[in-house]
Amino acid sequence: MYRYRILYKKTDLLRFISHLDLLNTVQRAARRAGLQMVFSEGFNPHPKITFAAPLPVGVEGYKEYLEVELNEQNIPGELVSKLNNNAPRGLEFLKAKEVDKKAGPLMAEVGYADYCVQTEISPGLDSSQLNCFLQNFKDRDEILIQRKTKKGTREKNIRPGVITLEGNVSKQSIIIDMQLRTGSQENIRPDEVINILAKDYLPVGVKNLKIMRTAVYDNNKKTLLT
Amino acid sequence: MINELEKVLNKVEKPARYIGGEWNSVCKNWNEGKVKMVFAFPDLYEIGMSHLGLQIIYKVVNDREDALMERVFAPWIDMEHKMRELGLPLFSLESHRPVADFDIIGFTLQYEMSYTNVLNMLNLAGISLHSENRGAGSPLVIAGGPCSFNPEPLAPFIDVFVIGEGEEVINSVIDTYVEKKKNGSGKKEILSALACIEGIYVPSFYRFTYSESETVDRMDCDSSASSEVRKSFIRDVDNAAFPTRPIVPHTEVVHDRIMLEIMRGCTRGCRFCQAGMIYRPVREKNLEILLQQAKELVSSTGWDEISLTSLSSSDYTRIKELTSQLVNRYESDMINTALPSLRADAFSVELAKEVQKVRRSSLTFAPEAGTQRMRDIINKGVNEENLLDAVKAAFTAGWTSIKLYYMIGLPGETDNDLEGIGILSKKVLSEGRSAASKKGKLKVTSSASSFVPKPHTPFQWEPQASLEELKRKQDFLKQKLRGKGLVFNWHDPELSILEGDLARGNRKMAPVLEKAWLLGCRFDGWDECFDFQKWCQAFYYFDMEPSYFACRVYRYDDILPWDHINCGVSKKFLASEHKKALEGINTADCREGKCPGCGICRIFKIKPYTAEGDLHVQVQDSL
Ligand code: SF4
Repeated sequence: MYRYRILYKKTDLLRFISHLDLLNTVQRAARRAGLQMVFSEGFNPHPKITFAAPLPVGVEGYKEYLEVELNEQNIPGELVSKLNNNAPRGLEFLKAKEVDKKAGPLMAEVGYADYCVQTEISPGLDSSQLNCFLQNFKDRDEILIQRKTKKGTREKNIRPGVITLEGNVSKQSIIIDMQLRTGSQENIRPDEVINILAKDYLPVGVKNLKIMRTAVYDNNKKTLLT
Repeated sequence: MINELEKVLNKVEKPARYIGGEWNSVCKNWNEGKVKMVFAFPDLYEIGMSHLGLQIIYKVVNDREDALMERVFAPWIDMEHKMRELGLPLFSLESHRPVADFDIIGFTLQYEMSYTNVLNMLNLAGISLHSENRGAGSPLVIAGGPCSFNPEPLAPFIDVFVIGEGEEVINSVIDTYVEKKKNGSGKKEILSALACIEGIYVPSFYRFTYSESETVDRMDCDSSASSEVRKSFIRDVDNAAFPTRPIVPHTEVVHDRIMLEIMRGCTRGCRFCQAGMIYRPVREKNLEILLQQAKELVSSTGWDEISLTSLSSSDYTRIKELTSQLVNRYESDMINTALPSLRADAFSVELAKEVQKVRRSSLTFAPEAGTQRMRDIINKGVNEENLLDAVKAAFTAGWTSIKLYYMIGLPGETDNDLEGIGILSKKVLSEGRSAASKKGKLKVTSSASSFVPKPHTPFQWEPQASLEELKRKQDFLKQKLRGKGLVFNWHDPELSILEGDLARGNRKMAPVLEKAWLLGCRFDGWDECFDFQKWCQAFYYFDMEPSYFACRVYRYDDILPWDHINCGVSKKFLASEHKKALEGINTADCREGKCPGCGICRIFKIKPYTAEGDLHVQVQDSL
């Protein structure tokens, strides 16, 4: 058994497929590529493919990671090109590396992610005003939001999970960059941050956002594939 | 357009329905000189992408140098709202172009309850609903699929109907269109030329006067059209176009798997079944060809299941060999083989056992009726013993859940027959109690749909049971199907009545349909959208009862609204089948060597054939 970590991106209109759809898409691409995937045991065997962090529907991911277990050894570069030859438009594999098959789950390694949020300019809002709004946010110690869980709603302070928050207004658009805690222990979504900003009267259309996840890091803010 | 689209996609549920770009989808260069067609499926993406016919036609058209085909599906309610709000016209999935920019729009009519979606899609595309209002600048609107065997309720809206199997005739349509366009012909000339092709019906060339009983008093047709339109069909299924590189949807669809069609047609002759009449004769594909196609499909799609599709898959002559070969070849790659539409007998369970090594799903059988008397009326060639043998085998093999399909409201049905449904389902359950190992999990689900008489079947003259009667029958059954391990499902009877109106209606249904659409009806086949009150309003507007056509009785010597459409099976045969039904006499399947003379082989000079060659049968004249 060989385990590979693969860097990929999911962009353009393909960002509108769900995480489950992506899983199926990768599986099918791997089958078409003729990869000999390892399957789980049990009643309903499925190929062993895991993802670092699911992307919400509509969010582009530029440095995303997945792992796949294969029954035969592959040269990483060839693995990437086999997959690319079988991937639909919007899904592109960039790099692969064989990793220790006894290593822990990929998901547990994830700690942080960078996001870039783009939205339409609104009249009268310039960069300095935008930064006032952002500074306001950053100056607070506690920002509570309601999160829906299986057991009802739960209050959550998202402030500690927002690591950086910067903005810029150009001729065409407002751009807000942020680094957020991401992963299984702590996970903040970019739309949660934007919703708070909008609530505090930042004039952005929360429904007209284009969100990109530009990088995913481990708990030491290091890249997941070197 | 993409940019506007992207904004909308953030705000609708399941945006993957609208993005296109799937594996194996084809986006050709949009240049002059090509005939641009769009395949329009009047239902959601998830439904339309489960339809093999779309994949076939898509391949045929895109294989041509001089044509291209893209796709469009009905946008769901939320998407429609957004599109109307922003003035976004209906667009194709491949190039995201307005549908109105195409030369030809081809709808498929798979079920009557999608008709309001046809109108809604034309409207969303900014195209006039009525054929007569569409000039040279408008796309040609064509429609095919099983419902086009009674095209009349849609006649004012559609320019050209394709009657029968479309994958060959579509080429003639395109050839003619190309040629006529080259000469600079107008719409009228194009239609006249198309009307000469076998299988093509141009409704505007026909005028009808109807009698008081809504049958045809008089039909006048233009000189360029023929008084009878014969269906088109594929003579050689082995060499017919078959998509071995089908589109693989991004998002889960109803049939998210390889669909390997193993044969066309079914001659079992169930008297309620329209598909069994209009897709005759039986034509089985060659085993080697199927294996080759399966191989190409596996490598081109990446799907992990092969479903062997047809109207009755266990009837395929070499089914055992086919399934075992597929299992042997693909099991180790974790690719399942699946057999939908199984006959209710022990042989079928044998097959299912072979393909389903892991028995997670339930098995489905369709006894259709609860008593032998009723099954003889409908010519359903299974008896109680067959069914009980089948379920016993299934329970013994480890299945714990059985689904049974029945119909209620069949001609001649009494409460005794309904009682029989309850008794039969309970017998199935008790077979489970004595045979199954995990008794606690035992479940027998009985689904009762309401019978809808369909054109070109022996029951085409029969009235549908009234709404009150259907409701009473359902309530009766609910009493009979109570208890541990029993589940009863039923369908909305109001929906069935409307299906009946649209199925056996004439051109007078068209304004009702248009009115219902105007009142807001769409996605009528979806419980959350279906609004019977609006439909009633539409009928009342024209002084008609909501069961105006559904509950109508036609007589043998009437000229029926669809009699000018010839599906190959003669009216004489249908009438004799109807009479035999009333007497409870069975008719044999010509597969067994005796031809009951349905008429198609004589008219079309063809013979049924199986995977082992021509059927040895002496073709009889229609009685
Ligand atoms: S004409 Fe006879 S042999 Fe041919 S399909 Fe009909 S019943 Fe079968």
